[in-house]
This record gives sequence, structure tokens and C-alpha cells, in this order.
Amino acid sequence: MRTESITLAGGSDEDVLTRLGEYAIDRGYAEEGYVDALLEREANHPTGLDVPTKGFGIAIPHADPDFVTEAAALVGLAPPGEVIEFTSMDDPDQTVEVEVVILLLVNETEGYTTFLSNLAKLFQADEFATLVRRRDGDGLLGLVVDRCIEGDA
Amino acid sequence: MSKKNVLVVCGTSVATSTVVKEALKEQLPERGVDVGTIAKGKATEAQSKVSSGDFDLIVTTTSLSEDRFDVPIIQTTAFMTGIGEDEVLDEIAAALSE
Repeated sequence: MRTESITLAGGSDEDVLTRLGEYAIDRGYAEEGYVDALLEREANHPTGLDVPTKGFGIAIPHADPDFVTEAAALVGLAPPGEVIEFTSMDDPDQTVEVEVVILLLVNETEGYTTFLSNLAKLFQADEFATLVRRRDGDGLLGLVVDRCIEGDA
Repeated sequence: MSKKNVLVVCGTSVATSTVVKEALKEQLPERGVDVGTIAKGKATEAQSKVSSGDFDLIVTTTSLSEDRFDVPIIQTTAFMTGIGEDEVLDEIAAALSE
């Protein structure tokens, strides 16, 4: 599984999804059409998650696996001091102030069960929150690889 | 008590339903639930999957547009955020014990 970190320019959730989706296509992780699928998916089933104990929001956008050509996780950070508003997964009437966006590109889930479960646990870890607050993309990537991928090959 | 089957639903049946499925597989037996199948599905497929009569409960991470199902629905993101995870596991176990 490929992992990369990207500094986002901010803007709306759609701006951010378009940027991340186009990046994924450029890097060969997804096919043309992925951006539209991503935007549609987010509109129908939003992925913003508030992590109240840590005081930040996270979004885990992903589209149907059909467009994914290589499994990857892209970690996008909001610009320092900024947040990106995503709609809440819990309640479509609520928005979440997101500081970190993890775009999940998986082409089949069975091989990524442990990765996904570990990733969800990571959202609740103190180190993760600290690195998000510092906007430390490399640090976050290291943590994701260390906690979610290593030993899960 | 017969085995209980759970349908775990999210938007694409890829990410969050996987997280929930693994958590339920691990934690429900500890709460005394005799777990049969835990299946994953997309939100748009929930109605047709449940109408098969094979499921006792729906656990979903996303809000479902149809509000009428023949089985109880529990909506939660606790397995991602960690908030209220024990409580929702108790709630799920209780719903399956009825």
C-alpha cells in the first residue's frame, strides 16, 4: 500500500477532494472518473468525523473501489491554523471542522481489514493528535506506516 | 439462543463497515452474543439485504434514507472516534438479546 502526505491549500471540502482525487490519478492510484465518484460519494454519504476528546476533526473520503488501480492512503493536512468544513458522517445537518483528511484508495477490502481497523484506533491516539496539530505530514505518515501497515503485509 | 446475524452498513461498503465488522467480531462474543454472520453492505443495498430475512440487526455508520426496516437499526461512528464505544456495544448486544 502506498502512502503519501500532501499539504492542502484549504478551501471547501469539494476543493480538497478534487485536489486529492486528481493527485491520486496523477500518481496512478486511480483512473479518470475517480474525482466525480469521490464527490458523489461524499455528497451522498459524508465522511467527516469529530474526535471530541482530541479536539479535532478528520475526514476519510473514499469512492467505490471500481476506479482504484493501486491501493494507497493519502494524508492531506489543512494549512496551519485553518480547517476544512466537511459534513458529518453522523448527521448530515452538522459540519465538522477537519484538520486532517485521509483519502483511502482500496481496491478490495479483504486485504485491508487490519489496516482500516488500526487506522481507526490511531485517530484516538495522543501522538496522532499532536502531529495533526503540528501539521507534521511526515510524522503522520510515519505513524500510519508504523501502526497500520508494518506487520500487516 | 440462536446465532445472531448483523448487517454492517456504510456508504461504499469499503472502509467504515470494515472497521465496525472487525470490532463486532471481536467484542460481541465477550458480551455473550452468539454471533453468526456479520455481513457488510452499501447503504443503498440495505433494504434489499434485510428483506431476505437473514439479519437480526443493522449497524450503520451513515444515515439511511429509508427509515422503515423490519429490524432494529443502530447508527454509530463510535468505532472510529472511540466516543461511546462501550455504550454502543452494550446497546448492540442488548438489541441482539431480545
